[in-house]
Amino acid sequence: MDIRKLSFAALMSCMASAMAFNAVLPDKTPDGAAPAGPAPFDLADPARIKAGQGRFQSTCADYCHGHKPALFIEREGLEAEYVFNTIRDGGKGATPMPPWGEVFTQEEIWELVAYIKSIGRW
Amino acid sequence: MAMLNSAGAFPRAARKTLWLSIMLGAAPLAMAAAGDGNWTEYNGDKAGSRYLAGGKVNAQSVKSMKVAWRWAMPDNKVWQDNAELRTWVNQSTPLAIDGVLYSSSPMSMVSAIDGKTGKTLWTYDPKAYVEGTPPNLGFISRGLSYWADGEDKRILVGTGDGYLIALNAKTGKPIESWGDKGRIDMTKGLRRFVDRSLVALTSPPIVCGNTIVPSLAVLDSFAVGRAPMKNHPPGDIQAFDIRSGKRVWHFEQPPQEGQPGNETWEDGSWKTTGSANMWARPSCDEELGLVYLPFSTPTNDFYGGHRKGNGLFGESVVALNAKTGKIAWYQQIVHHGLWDYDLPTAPNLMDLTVNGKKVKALAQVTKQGFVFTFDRSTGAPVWPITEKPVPQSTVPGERSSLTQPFPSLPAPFVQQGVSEDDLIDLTPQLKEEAKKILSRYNYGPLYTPPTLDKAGTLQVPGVLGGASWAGAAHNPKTNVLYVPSFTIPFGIKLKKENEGVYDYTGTWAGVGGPQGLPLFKPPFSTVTAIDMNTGKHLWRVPAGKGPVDHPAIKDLKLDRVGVPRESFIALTDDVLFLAPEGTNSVIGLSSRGNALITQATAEEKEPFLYAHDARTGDVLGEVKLPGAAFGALMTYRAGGKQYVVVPIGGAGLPAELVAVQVD
Repeated sequence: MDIRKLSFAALMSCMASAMAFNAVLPDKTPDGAAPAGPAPFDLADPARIKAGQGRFQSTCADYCHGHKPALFIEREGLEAEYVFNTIRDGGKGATPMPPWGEVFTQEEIWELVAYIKSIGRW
Repeated sequence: MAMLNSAGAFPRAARKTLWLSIMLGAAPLAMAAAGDGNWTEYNGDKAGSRYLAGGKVNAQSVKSMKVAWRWAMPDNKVWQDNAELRTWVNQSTPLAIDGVLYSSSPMSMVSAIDGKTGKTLWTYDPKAYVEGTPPNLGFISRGLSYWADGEDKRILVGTGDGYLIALNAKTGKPIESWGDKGRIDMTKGLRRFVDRSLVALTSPPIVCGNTIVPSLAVLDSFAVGRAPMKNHPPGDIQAFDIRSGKRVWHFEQPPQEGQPGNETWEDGSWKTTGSANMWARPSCDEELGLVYLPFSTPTNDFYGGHRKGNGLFGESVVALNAKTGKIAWYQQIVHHGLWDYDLPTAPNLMDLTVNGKKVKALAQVTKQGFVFTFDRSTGAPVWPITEKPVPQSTVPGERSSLTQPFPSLPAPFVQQGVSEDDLIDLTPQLKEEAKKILSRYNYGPLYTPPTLDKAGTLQVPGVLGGASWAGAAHNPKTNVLYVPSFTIPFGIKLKKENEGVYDYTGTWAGVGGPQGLPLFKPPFSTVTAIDMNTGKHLWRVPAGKGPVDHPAIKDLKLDRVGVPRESFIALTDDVLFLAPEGTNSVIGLSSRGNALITQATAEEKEPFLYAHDARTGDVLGEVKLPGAAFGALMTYRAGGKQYVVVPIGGAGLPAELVAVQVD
């Protein structure tokens, strides 16, 4: 993702959108699941971010979050553990998002978190 | 299994030879559209042809296509002033009658526009946004219907908040004597209370004889992650007198006790099962007096343990007498649906000559990639349809159908099911990465049921098709059917519900491939031309250029691989116009919790209208649009010129119509 390719107007539009609606991520903390521990690697590691981006594109982009995910570009106020839990457990009845905890290892989920963090402001 | 693994399966010379044989055996013009330049129906005509006869559009004229005018939709200001009311992408396609365009907008506003200049003549605002966002994808209105009897000319619009409204075509004012002061509340008369936030009229109604038959979209709970209800809105069809707005018949879906088909719902499941509705537009044969209804999947879409049996008339084509609502015939396309393979578009009606015999036929294109062809008088298959064994569900409590119907002709027009051989293999690295992605899923042939483990079942075609709501175009002079299709796999994962109505419900996710490319071999989307007199494919070409400049494959210097999305089409005698769909990304749920909210991409990679040779599929011309297409195309003539109109924008961008002069 190279957000420099987005026009200013598009960026503003994306930011306004992200702030205007209920996030796809559910507000409630997933229950019944062990809380995520701290990230096992530096979330700013470019190799981890790249791995997460590839996984995002094959899993989260098509007909959901998009290859230029407006929900996460320039997004503020997210927390890494919250994002991890949501990817692992899915929408839990609040959104149609499937749970990925049985599909990806914890390390792979953390790489997704690293990518989402890399395009946001949190 | 994949049936087409490379673009250009039919060499150009072969395509021209096939076309010559078509012209020598051309069918009579029983259903040819009038040559007046009007586009009087959403699909061009009541046969669903998406075809306009006559005019001067040809291979030369489309080399210099240009944008003639742009028209901004009146609801742009509403959502710009109120972020809670953001619309979905703009899918509104206009009608054209005697030089005037009539267009709806995502918020169901109706406008009359000068067809030569794009200037607004009048606008009617039903205020369909007052109570909030409609279900599923929010604010969508795909178009309007027109009816005239002498000087009595009417525009009919279905609204996002569940009303059917009749307007005076000259003034844009509601016809006070029709229905209840010009409108009918479609949430009423459905056997049980229906929450207005769960239904919407997105497809335009059809007028068949003196009867108007509206479609009704119902919330797909899985689409928004909402827990399904026990008493979901049913799929009933209500029909009304076009002159008075009084209800003339009511078709109950599922069939109630004592009605044909009721026996296909076990354990009284017909009492509570909902949906199985008709959200797509029907077709109509005025001469036979029949209206042809394409129905969808019953609740819930991916688990049917609570509705054992084939479940008529879910995912069926049903022919009803338009005057009485009585069943003339029906054919179920999917038994006991578990894949959300709703019939997504109006059947194409056509007069064929098959083995020397005249047949009044109906061709239904489907999400799963088949064309089902029936005698539209009797429902008899034109070519044999065989019940074949299919994979069985492993989910506790589920009892999937042992067989599904497979047409012998025409051949499928898209990849069906999944094998490792189908994976993208443009480079060895891409293939290896694709294998890893595939390993996350359960997979198999067409109709492999949803699963509980891994990332679920990799469904191909996915829930969006195959063919889709974009439909297919048909030339009644040549009997060639043009079917746009695409391959976007979906992962369907069931989850156990400990509370609520169902034991299991489904989650979904679109599935991509390695490095942002699609998972399977190109072409990623196509348009297929089929000679419907023989059932044989004539040619298939990629729909759009697609990601040929992606870093992983640009060195291969591929010509066209198709955009990995659906495409919209409109047909003239010589030219097939095609516009690939734009992209958007989901950013949240509506405050009512009943709809996804999305952002359209501001800078699209391929916002083009293409002109293809209708005989060979070759690209004759292209024009860059100010935004990518999001709705069906139409074409019309006014002031001695012919235009193709493309809906663009919406979902955070200004919704517009763009008129391209093509002659």
